[in-house]
Amino acid sequence: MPDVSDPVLEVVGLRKTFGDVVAVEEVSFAVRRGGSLAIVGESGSGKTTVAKMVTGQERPTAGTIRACGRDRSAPARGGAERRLRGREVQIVFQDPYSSLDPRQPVDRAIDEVLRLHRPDWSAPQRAERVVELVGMVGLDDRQGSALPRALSGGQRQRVAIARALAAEPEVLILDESVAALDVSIQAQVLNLLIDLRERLGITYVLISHDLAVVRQLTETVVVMHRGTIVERGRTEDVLDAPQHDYTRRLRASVPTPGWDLAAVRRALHETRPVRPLTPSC
Amino acid sequence: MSAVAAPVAGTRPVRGRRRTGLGATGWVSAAVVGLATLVAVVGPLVAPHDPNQADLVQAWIGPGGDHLVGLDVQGRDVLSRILAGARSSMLGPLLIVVICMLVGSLLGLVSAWRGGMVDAGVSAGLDILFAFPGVLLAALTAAVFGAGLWAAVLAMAVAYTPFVARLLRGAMLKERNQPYITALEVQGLGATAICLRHVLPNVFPFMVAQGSILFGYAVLDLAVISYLGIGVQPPDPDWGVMISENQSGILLGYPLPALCAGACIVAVVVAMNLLGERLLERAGKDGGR
Repeated sequence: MPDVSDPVLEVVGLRKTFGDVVAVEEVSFAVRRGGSLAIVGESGSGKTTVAKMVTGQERPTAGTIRACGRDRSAPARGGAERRLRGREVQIVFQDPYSSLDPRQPVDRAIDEVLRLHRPDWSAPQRAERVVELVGMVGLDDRQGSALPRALSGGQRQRVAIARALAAEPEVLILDESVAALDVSIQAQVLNLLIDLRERLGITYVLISHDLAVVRQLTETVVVMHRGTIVERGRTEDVLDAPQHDYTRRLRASVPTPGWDLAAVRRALHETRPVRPLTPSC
Repeated sequence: MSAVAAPVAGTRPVRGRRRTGLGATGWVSAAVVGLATLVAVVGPLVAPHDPNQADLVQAWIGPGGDHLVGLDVQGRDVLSRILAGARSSMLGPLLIVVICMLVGSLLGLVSAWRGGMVDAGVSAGLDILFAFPGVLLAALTAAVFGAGLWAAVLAMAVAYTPFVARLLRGAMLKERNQPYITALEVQGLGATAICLRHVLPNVFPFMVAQGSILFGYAVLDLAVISYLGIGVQPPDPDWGVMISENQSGILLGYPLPALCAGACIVAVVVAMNLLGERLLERAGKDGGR
C-alpha cells in the first residue's frame, strides 16, 4: 500500500486471539483523511473482529490503533475519553432491525446522541440539527418522528447512519451496512453514502464481502484471509488484476451474467488441490 | 453470513398490525386480580362483622341470616375473615415480588453487563441460595425473628431472588447484545445511562409478566407457610391461616370455611398465572425484533 500521509486511522501489527484461536494476526493499514478503505474477506476471515477492535468493542491482544492521532488500543478511561472516541469513529451495523431501540422514536434517538456530544446546545438547537440530519439521510419529518417498527429496513439503516453522523465522526465504519438490504434499496443507500462522503469529507472503512459494493464505495482495499492481510492496494487494481490466489478465488465467486461455475471450480482447484476423499476417522 | 441474514430479514412478519389485547382469558384474569386487589385495599372496611369476634357456641353454623357464608370453627363470620384476610394474603406476595424484582434486576443487570468474573461470582452466590427451599428459609427466619408475615415475606423474597435474578440476567444479556446497545457504547454513552434508559425499559414488560406469575407462586407459598403456623399468626385473618384453622371442619362435614379460603387462593393463583402468561406473550411479541 502506498504511504499514507495524514492518516486519520492507523492500525499497526494488530493481533487478537480468543483462547488458542488466532482470529487476527499482523494486520496493519492506514486510511488518509477523507479516504476510504474496504476490508474484504469471507466469513470468519477476521474482518469484523478488526472493526470491533477499532470501535473498542474488543481489546486487541497486541498492536496499536490510532484514530485522529490518538491511541485507542486500551479501553477508554472515563466518560470524557469515551465521548471523544465517539466523535472520532462511529459504526453502522449490518442488521437494520436490531440496531435501533424499538421503544425510541427516530428523533429522540438522534437527540440522545446530540445531548451526549453537544451538552452546550439548547433544546431548539438540537431539534434543528435533528431535522437537518433526518433530511440529510433522505427521510421526511413524519418518518423522523416514527418508531423504528414503522420503518422499512432501508429507512432504519438511514436512521442508523443519521445517528452515527450526529456525533460528527471523522471515520465511519460500515460493517456490512448494506448487505441485509434488497438490491434496489441497497443501491439507494449506497448512493446516499457516496453523496454524504462528498458533502462531509468523512472517511469510510467498509467491511464487506460484496465486491460490487466495495468497488463503488472505496478507493483502497485490503483483502483478509484467515486473520491476515493477503493483498492490498487500490481497489480497481486489486479487483481488476488480483495478485493473490485467494483474491482471484473471491472474485471468481461473484455471480455475474454468464457466470461459469466450472471456472469457479477451476479457480478453486488451482489454489486448493483436490485431495482424494480419505476417511479421517 | 449476510447472504443468510438477508432472507431472514425479509421474512419478518409485518409489524403494522399489532395485537395489543390480552384476549378473553387475559381480561377475565385481570378482572379477578383487580377484584382481589380492591378487596385487599377496602376489605377490612366493608367486612360486615368483626373478623376476630368469636362465639364458640355458634361454631360451624352454615350460611344464612346475618352470615352470608356461615361461621367458622370459633364462630367467626367467614365472609368478614375472607375480606379482611385478603390484605395480608395479597400484600405479602406483592412485597415479595417487589423485593425480588428490585434485587433480581440489579443482580441480573450487573452480571449481564459486566460478564466474566462478576457474572461467575454472582451466579455462584445465587446457586448457593438456590439450594435452600423457601419453606426451610421461612422456618429459619421465623425462628430468628419470630413467626409473622414479615419473617415469611423476608424468607420468600430471599428464596425467590435467585430465580428472578437468573431469569432477568438472561433477558438483560439478550438485550445487552443487541447492536443498538453497542452503537450507544460506541457513541460514548455511559453504562448506567444505557442500562437505565434502554436496557431496563426494554426488559420491563418481561419483568411485569414474570412478576405476575411469581405473585401466583408467592400467594401459594405464603398460604402454605401460614398454614404451617410460621407465617401470619392466628387469630389475624389470612387465607392460609383460615384453611389451617378450619381443616377439622372438612372431616366434621362443615367444609365451607376452609373451601372458601382455598377457593380465594386458587382463584388468585390461577388468574395471576394466566395473566402473566398473556403478558409474557405480549412482551415477547413487543420486544421480539
